[in-house]
Amino acid sequence: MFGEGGGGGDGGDEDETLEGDMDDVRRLGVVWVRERGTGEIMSWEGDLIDSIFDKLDQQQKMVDTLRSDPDTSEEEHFKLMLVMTEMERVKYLVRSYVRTRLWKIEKFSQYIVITPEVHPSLSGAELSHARRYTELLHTHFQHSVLDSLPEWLRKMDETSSDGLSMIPKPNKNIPVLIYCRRDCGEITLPDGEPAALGKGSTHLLKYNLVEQWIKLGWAEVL
Amino acid sequence: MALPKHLQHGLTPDELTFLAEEEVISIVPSFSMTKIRVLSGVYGPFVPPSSTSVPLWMALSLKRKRKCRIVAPEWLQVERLQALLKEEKENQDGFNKLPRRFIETGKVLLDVAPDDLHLPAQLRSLLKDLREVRQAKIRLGLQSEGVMQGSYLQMNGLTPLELMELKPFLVKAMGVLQTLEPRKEERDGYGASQT
Repeated sequence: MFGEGGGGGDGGDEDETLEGDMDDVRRLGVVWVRERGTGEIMSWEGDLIDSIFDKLDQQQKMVDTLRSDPDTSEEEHFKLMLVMTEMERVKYLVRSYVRTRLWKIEKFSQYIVITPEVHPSLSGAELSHARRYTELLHTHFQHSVLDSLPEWLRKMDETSSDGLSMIPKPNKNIPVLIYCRRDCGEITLPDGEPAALGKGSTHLLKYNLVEQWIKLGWAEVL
Repeated sequence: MALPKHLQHGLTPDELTFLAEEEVISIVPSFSMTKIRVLSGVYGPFVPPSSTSVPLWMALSLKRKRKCRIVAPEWLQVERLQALLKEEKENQDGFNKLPRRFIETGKVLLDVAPDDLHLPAQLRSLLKDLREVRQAKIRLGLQSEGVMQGSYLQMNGLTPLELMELKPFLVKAMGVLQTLEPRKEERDGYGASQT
């Protein structure tokens, strides 16, 4: 670690599995960790969530039928217990995933509304929430304080002379922890020094330096 | 708030344990059951005395109902851990590659299924020693000069849990260093132009 030593540790073991080869539940785990580990709002994993909801729905129907059926054997009841345990686990993951996004969306709501480039990373519901939230917040600020201030102090989207904006936006310089599932080549650090992102290595560095590898799934956020 | 404050800095040990529970482990069931299909895959059939692989959460759930014996992972044995501890102490420049979630897995297994492990008390203290040796190395590593390059740190061999313990501190430290850096460059620039 901290420097050269430690040998890249190319374990070459089971860590090789890329996201695409995982089952939905484990993929959701990776997606959730990534959302938690980064400052920016990642792309909404709509397909994954839809597929998980479909499966949860099917499971729920199956559970309901089997539970109401008096002929269900003891063994089936036992299986149902396990199935339901897992459903709760998956639901917890989905909840936490959505809440993490909601937290980011509310934090950056105004930025989201005025930046069309980030709209594709949000689901429809998320985008309309961002819009309504911003509107609510603004109306509230106006009614409670701003309307009683002189006109020139009422703006909420000013950029001060030192470049500091009133609109908070995601900071891409915040470091992220990544684990390279594949060899991500070499990158150049801001101070001009190179850093090799070999397979199986772990790094803490600025998000914008490795954004592409994270989005490709080659680098896993920890 | 959508996300409670204590969760905003990163994953908590509980959440990491939750992830560790998705990993697969061997059990020897003490009951018969046909295959079971859950969202993450199909497991079983359960036919004693042959072993089968299930996710850790399922193994723990079965264990709590006294329906199985958990087969200890290959690394969770006294001799193996003693060897790992020795290697860890000898390897001063880096960290040994350990199973990614050995702390979490070790802890839940020792808590829920100590009777399936050989010499659980000794295992517990070995795991603790191993963790402390690594923590000491981390502290030492962070003290050495030139480690914090402002915005980059290579941390091979550490497990997610160990990294999570460090992350809030490191992210903050890097933030501080980043605010200091541009000024340093400016000053250097001045120095160069004046001479």
